[in-house]
Order: sequence, then C-alpha cells, then structure tokens
Amino acid sequence: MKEILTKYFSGEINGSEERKLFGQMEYDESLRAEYIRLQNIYALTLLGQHPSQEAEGVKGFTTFSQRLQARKRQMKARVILQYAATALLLITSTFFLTRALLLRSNAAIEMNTLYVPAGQRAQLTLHDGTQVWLNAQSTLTYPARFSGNRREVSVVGEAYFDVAENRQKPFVVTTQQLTMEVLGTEFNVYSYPEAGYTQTSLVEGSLRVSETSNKNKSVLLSPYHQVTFSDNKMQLDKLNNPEHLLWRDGIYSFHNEQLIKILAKLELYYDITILVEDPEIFNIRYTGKFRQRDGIDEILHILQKIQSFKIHKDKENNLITLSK
Amino acid sequence: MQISSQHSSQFEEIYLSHYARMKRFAMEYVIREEDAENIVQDVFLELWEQKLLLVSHTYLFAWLFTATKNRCLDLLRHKTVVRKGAEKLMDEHNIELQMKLQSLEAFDNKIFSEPDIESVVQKAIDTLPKKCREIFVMNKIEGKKQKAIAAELNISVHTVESQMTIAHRKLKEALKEYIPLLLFLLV
Repeated sequence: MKEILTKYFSGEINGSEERKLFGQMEYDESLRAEYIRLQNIYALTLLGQHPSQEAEGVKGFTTFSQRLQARKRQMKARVILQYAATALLLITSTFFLTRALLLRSNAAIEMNTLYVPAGQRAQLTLHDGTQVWLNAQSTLTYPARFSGNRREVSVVGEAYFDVAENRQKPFVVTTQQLTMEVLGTEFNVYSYPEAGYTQTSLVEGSLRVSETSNKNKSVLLSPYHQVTFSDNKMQLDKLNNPEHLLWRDGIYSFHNEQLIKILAKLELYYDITILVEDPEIFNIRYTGKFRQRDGIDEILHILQKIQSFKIHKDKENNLITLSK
Repeated sequence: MQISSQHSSQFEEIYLSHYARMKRFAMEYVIREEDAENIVQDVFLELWEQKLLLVSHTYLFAWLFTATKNRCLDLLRHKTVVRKGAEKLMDEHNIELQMKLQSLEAFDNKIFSEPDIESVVQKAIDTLPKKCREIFVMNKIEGKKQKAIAAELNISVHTVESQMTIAHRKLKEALKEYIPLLLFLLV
C-alpha cells in the first residue's frame, strides 16, 4: 500500500491501483490518516518560492488584469433588479379594484400587470377562459374583465396563448413591433426588447399579424408557420423549431442554433450576465434540450462537453465570464 | 476611487511572487487546474480591493494562503455534498475529493503564520541530494510527469521513480513536526 500511496502522490497512479487504494481507505482508518498526513506534507513543500514559477506568474497576471478591467466595465453597465426571494409572481393593479367594481364597463377598465421574474414561468387563465403561459422576464398586461367588442392584452417577453373561441370578440395581442389578432387559436409570441427581433408562431387556428406601428402591413398566418419581424420587415416561414414551445413545460429546446445565441437566451432566462471573451469559439451549432430547473451552472457544464471553454463566476456582480 | 501607481506596482510584485505557488497549493486539493486558477484569481481580486499591502510579508503570506485554503474548502464542500437519493456507493472521484477535503481541514492555518515557514520548507527541500532535488522540483513544483522528466534528464523512468521515493521519505522526515500524525481522527 505504501508504494501505491507514493505513486498516487507522484501523480503516476493508474486506474485500477487507484480503485484499490480508495477501496481500502474506506475501512482502513490508519491508511486514511497516512493519506492525510502525506497530502499535507507535500502541499507544505509547495509554499517555497522557485524561479521557474515566474513565467506562470506573468501569464496569470495578464489574465488577472483582463478580469479586473472586465469587472470594472460590468459594474458601470449593470442595472440592479431586486426580487423578493420567495415571490413567484408579482401582480399589481394599476387602478383601485373597488373603484372599478362601482363603475361599469364604460368607465376606465382596470389593467392588471403580471410580471414573471428571471428563472421562473407562470400560467394564468383570463376572464374569457383564454390560457396564457409566460416565460422568464416577461410581462402580460390584461384587463380583469373583457368589455367592449375586442379582447386586448399586451406582452413584453415571451407568451403562449390558447385563446378561447369567441367569434364576436377578436383577441388582440400587442407587442412593441407586432400585433396579433385571432378568433380562437393557439400561438406563441416572442418579443424580448433585447433580442432585436419579434417572432410569432402559430400552432392551431388562424392569426392575422400586423406591424404595430402600421396596421396596414399584415400577414395571415396558417398553422405551423411563423412570422419573424426584424430589420423593419416581416418574414413568413414554416415553423422551424416546434419544440421551442416546450418552454411552457420548463424545457428549453434549441435546434441547430449557434452557441453564442443560446448563451444570449440563457442570459434572458436566468437573469445573469454572460461575458464571452473569445466569441469565435461559440459559433458551433447545437441541437438539444435543457430543463429550466437545472440551473445555469448545470447547463454550462453540459455545453462544455460540446465546446470546451473555461468558466469564471463572479457571484457578487452576477457575472459569468467564458473564455478559451 | 483613485488607485495609485505605487499600489499597482507593489501589487504586481506580490502577485508575481505568490501566484504560482498558491495555484500549485490549491491544485493539491481541488485537483483541476482550472478550479485552482479561478480560486487564486479571486483571492487576488479580493486583495486588490482590500488594499492590504502596507503590512508585513509574514502577514501577507498568511493572508494569501489562508484565503486560498478557505476557498478550496468551500469548493470541496460544495462538491462533496451528498444529494438526496444519491447512490450509497460513491465513485472513487467523490471519495478522493472527500479525502482531499479532510486533509485540507486538518491542515493547520498556524503553519501559514510561522515566521520562517518559507525558509523551513526551502531548507527541507535543500536536504535532498542534488539530483533528487532536481527531480522533485520538476515533478511537484513544475508539475511534470515522470516520463517527461526522464526524457528531459536523459535517465530511466525507474530512476525517476526511485528518486521520488527517496524525496518523499526525506521530506516526510524533515517536515513531520509541522504535520503531526493524527492518532485520533476528527469526526
């Protein structure tokens, strides 16, 4: 055993010897004591200075200076968002409920705002029976009751709608760039301000999609198609990644998507800043799924298996830095 | 927050003189080089912010290594937490991490504060015969594998192995009073 221990601490042990060693250590107390002693003696020998280590120090210092600069930049740009630790949903009423109850439909309709924080998702049912799923960092603004001849809501972020059918009252979803009008249908809308584009995907039914700033420009969507709005124009395509809609079940699915884009989405879903020092290594494309509840650390470790990179976490500043 | 240029050049000096040995020390316990690097970089970030430079060398040395040790402990504890429903039979990687953790917990912080610890360690290494010392430094301090050492010095791997055995024996003898044999294991 002594020889195996020596081999171990020289870094020359092989797999089966290692298994033997740790196997015996499980019940041999004195062997464990000897391990601890030797481990600490060898660690102790590393405290002295050696000239050969200077080059390593220089290399480390370069990396250190870069990280220090990145941290300074990050602290200037950061917007601090506070969340209650236990609150899952934040519902606010912008008008007093009692006032609304007293006044009937012609008066101001109180609008509710539902905000879902990072790393969470929510599902709710509107007054007409329409079901809505909201993804992380998304806001739904909706009235407590639908009155008048239209049902109107607005969305920032990502939401999936299963609209209750009502031929007399079209259901209208407004986002910053696109407005969707439906009678009864299931569709997904993706409109995060940071993303740079808006996308609506239709699962079932029929949907009229128009530009919010110019209602004359519109497209009629048929099932399993999607409209993407970017660079000021609408593009109609077939639904390219229906599994993306699994987000409602807490599964993030990517289809042939560049890692760098996946990282951008993870930033949104988990409210964390990911700084990429060597972006060229993240061009590789990935197809796969993650569970939302796995958390960002687990997901990054899975991604490391496809593309090797180094992770540095700065917990205080909510920043993860990835590098070659 | 003005950083004086004197502060930065002092800091750089301290960084260059301690970085590599802190990293090697950390690697002894956390195994992965990447983890060790991150830990040491974090310690230096903390040092930068604390501006602890106008203190004695002994204090600084103790501060740097204690901070390194504590972060290694945190990492090892985090990695060895047994999750609910995990298999009773742990793989040997986990057992190894547990042993590293136990070792580090048993490593007395007071050693870092010993005023002459660096020369004590240096003297211990100097007691090794010349060739033996060279091989030991290449293996433990520079992290070279025995095969590479044999090739570089133009000797057989067997010679490297036996020299390392001698080195281990002599160092154990020279440093044993600092790392006492644990007769009763702490639970």
